[in-house]
Amino acid sequence: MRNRPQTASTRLLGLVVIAIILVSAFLAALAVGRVSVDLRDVILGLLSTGSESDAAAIVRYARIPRALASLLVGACLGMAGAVLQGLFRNPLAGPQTLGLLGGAGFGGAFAILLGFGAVGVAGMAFLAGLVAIAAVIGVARLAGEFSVLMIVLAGLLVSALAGAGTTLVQFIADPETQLPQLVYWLMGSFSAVRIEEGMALLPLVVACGVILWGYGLRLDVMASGDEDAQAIGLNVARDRIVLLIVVTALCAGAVAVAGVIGWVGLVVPHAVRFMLGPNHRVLIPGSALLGGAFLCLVDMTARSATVAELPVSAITALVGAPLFLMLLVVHRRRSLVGA
Amino acid sequence: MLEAIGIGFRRGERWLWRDLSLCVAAGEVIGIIGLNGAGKSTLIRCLAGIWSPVEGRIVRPARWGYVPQKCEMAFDFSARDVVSAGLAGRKQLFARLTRQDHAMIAASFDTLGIADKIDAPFVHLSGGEQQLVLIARALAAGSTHLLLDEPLASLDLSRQAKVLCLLRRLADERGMAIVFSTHAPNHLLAIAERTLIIGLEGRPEVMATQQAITAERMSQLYGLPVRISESPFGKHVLADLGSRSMDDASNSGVRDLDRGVGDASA
Repeated sequence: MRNRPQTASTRLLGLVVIAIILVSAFLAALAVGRVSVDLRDVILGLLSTGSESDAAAIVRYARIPRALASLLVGACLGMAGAVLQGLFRNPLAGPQTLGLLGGAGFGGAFAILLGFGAVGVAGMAFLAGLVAIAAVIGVARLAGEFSVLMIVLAGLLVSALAGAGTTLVQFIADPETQLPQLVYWLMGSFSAVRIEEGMALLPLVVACGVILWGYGLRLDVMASGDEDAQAIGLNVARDRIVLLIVVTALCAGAVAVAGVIGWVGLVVPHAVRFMLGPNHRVLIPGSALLGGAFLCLVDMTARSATVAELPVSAITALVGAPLFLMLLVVHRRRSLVGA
Repeated sequence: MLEAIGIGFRRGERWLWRDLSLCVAAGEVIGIIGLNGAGKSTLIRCLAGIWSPVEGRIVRPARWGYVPQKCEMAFDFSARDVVSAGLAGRKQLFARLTRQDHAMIAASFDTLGIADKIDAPFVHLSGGEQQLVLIARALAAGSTHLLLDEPLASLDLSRQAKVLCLLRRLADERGMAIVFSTHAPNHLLAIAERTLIIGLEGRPEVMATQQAITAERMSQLYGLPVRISESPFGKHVLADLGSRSMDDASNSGVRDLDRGVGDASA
């Protein structure tokens, strides 16, 4: 994608614009649904503590938890994608294409099968996510090449294995008690999310966001290659491990709260890069804000587009797949131009 | 001061070089020359701390810059972003770039005469301009030593001359210590005080360029008839590149070993 000259002030302005989009998406998610709520009730729902109208109660008890959870899950996935693309110098990398979401999904599904609670699901998702990303790196290195193609192929392989594991978990699960919950969770949904679960992501998003922002300058160097980064004096191996652990924690948190939601981590960083340039100290907060806004709007669509609630991952795929295709074409053209 | 003491590097069972010692002082330019696969880039990478030698040790200065032969940037970073990122090595994790840092970045572009390229996307720059941006990155990071891996390989004659002048100027005016590798002996004659030839029999040794670049040594290194010629531009290495067979050099004209300087001295 073509970049335009970016100054510090235009980047800051861009971040402010994305933040305004986020707030607008959040308010829209509170107002729009099968029951329309006017702005007054939205504000009442946000502010009031006691006696309130039915509409304000819907906002307060049904929509705010979902909107907050979708916003924070979107922020997790957006940041994770931005970092993975920088770390692997790969515009096609993302939590989904690298098998991270598939691995975390398998871990979470296995935890549900074992009857674990939310913390157990998150913990298992984290561990399985780490194994998945380590496997992707291992397979790519085994092939002797750390190229864009090898990383994506290794991600495909690991995703397929994780998918097979998840299918087996579904096969073993009790069809009466566990299977419906499992299937619904795997499709990605905020319908059952409680305010505490959503808010549990807040410290994770803030802590990981701060750490990743700190690594922004180093990620900029890593984009020109490991050798370059090493020659500048960075400990690339150590930094990569830290970043992968942080990214896996973000993905595990997102998966534990809302299941497996693809495409957000792949397309959102590209949109931000297109608007604000590839500088990671802008890209990471920008991807958090736009990822949050995007998923908030997707969830709003999922619960209000039809009578029955649509799976969130179906909508992100409907939007993300054409964008991904466009990305492949642009990347191919650039490769040909560069050849 | 950058100093390599008795270093050696092995690929499989084959030693690229062994017992190699090198010390580059402030204001000095050292050139490295050798055949393809002799280990020039490996040596530069070892000096830059990217790879470790199998034996021996390297003492590095506090700040040094490395300019690779080619830099493939993954995204459309601007030239300014590339130079800014070069400060990551000496910045704390959460530190931001200060006004002073930004001033140094702008000054490094000025020094290299590419101030007009500061906001251009790095990937859209020519190979030569990219090299200059990477040198600017080393300058902005306050490097006292500069290690360049074949910086002139993809440049036309005029840009080769510009970069050579620039390197000499950085050594003379800023006291930078510079080590660069090349395939052209004439580049060494142009700016290097001392030269290291890799690939000759015996222990690789750094010596004065005028002593290192002799007809005998160059003939031995390249397996070609080579002679040293004097011209108004100085000494040049000329080699027989035109014969159909390297065993039959008598029917061919003698051409310059260096693609570029050959044209200039014609």
